[in-house]
Amino acid sequence: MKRLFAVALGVLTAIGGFLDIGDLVTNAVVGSRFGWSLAWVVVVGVVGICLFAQMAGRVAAVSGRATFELVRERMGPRLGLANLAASFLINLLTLTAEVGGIALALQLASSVHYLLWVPVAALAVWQVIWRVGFDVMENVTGLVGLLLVGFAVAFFLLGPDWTQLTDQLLQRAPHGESPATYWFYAVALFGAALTPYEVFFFSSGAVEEGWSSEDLAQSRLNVLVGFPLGGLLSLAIAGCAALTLMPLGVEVTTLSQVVLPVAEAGGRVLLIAIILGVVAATFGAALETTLSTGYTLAQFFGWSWGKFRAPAEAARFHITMIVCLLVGVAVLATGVDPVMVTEISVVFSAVALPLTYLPILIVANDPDYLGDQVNPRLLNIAGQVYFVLILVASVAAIPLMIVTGVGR
Amino acid sequence: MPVGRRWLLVAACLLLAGCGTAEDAAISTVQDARSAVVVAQQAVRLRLDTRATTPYTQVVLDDSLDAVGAAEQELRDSSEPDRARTARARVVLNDANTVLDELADAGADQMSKADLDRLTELVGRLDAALAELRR
Repeated sequence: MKRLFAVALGVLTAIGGFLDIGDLVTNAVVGSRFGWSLAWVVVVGVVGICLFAQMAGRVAAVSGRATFELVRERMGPRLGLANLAASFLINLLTLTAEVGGIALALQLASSVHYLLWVPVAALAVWQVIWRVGFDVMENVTGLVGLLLVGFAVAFFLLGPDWTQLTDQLLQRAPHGESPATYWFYAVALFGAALTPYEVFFFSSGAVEEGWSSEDLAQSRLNVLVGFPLGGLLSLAIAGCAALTLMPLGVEVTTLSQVVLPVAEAGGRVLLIAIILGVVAATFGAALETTLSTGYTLAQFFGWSWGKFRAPAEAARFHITMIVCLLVGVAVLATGVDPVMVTEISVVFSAVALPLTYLPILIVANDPDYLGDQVNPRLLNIAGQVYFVLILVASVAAIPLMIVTGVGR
Repeated sequence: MPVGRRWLLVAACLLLAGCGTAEDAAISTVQDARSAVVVAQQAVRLRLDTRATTPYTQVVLDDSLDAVGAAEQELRDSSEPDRARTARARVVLNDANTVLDELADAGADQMSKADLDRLTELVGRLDAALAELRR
């Protein structure tokens, strides 16, 4: 019974923790402009994150070491440093977007300007990281984040026209949208689904929780059930925007517009639930990205790290996180639009993807680390196919961003 | 040619291509304002039906006002050569700013059917301006 509870909890937190501000905003923007014509990217992205997250989880569970500890050792300091620089900067950008996301969600709940919420949000993130245990932190944010299931409820309450949605699935760019914009958002959605911090957090979390080879089945279940269900929520967000905002000619530019279809479908109760869900999802993601900045740097340089250690025993790990949070607050304090930061962060995530995922693919194939738990042949082929896709998305991201003027 | 320089050239070409695809400023700014006003109209309707909360509606009104302000600024900064078109866009953007400013100032808890009608009428004016600008 206890085992079953642990499995259910793991899957539920994986669903609730799947969505972050990047997924919320990008899916709503895409839904309002392209309907469901980019839904295939969500499917491709979810399969990709399942593939690589379970590889990263297996590496951590079998070797007892997290991704970045192995990257430098296996790939050498030069490539390791390139990997570190890209991953760290993307984490920092994503962290800034998530803290901005918490502030925007609190603004929706209170109508107090988001800039006043930014320091409060950052302080709360730091306090939780400093004081709250890893399990409690992960489970509470994941479970409250499940309120985002409200998007799926809203989608069905809106009475989707399945014929129209199926037509959109088979359509390329709708009238008025250029192919370049279509592909720009395809890359952005792909980047949002495969955000690098998810893998760092997943593999470091496995070490924090002391996973071993015996936990591999549960790890696979969390990933293979939880993430696809989270992906369905992404489709529901895009679907809500496609059903409500697209016919009105509204292109999503703010978080308040993302949740408008929910109020339309389910009234106040559902609106309040969704706003709470957005706070939890962005807060959970802010915790994960903050921890990931500490993990990447500490693991690369061989510092003592982990929430399972007292802060005094992992001082540089904790200082890194505090400094990154302060940098995020400083960036947001300039008045830069958090939604714009989010859009840019998912595009740059796509740029950095190869540097994150290549080492995982290599280490997951190395018998020196994994013994007989290396990737099976089929998984390897799938991993390599995905790596080619990741490479294409990475190369295309910046040119598409320039050509389309960030998707305008 | 060294690889680095080749990439720089490609990036410069793409940058120029991006600059070249700049949309008609009068149309794009009115379109942005219309999008913001429609969302405000929907939020006020939901508020009057007690389906949206007061803080949420207030945030939508404030966001919409900001979006219209940004559209006005973008029009001012643009190099739209046709003065008549710029003037047409400016008038309707100014109308939108005035209405949203009054509603946001009044507060979401004070919204009435008359305010919803004002927003609906404003959407009509923005649609008419867009149709005219596209001709």
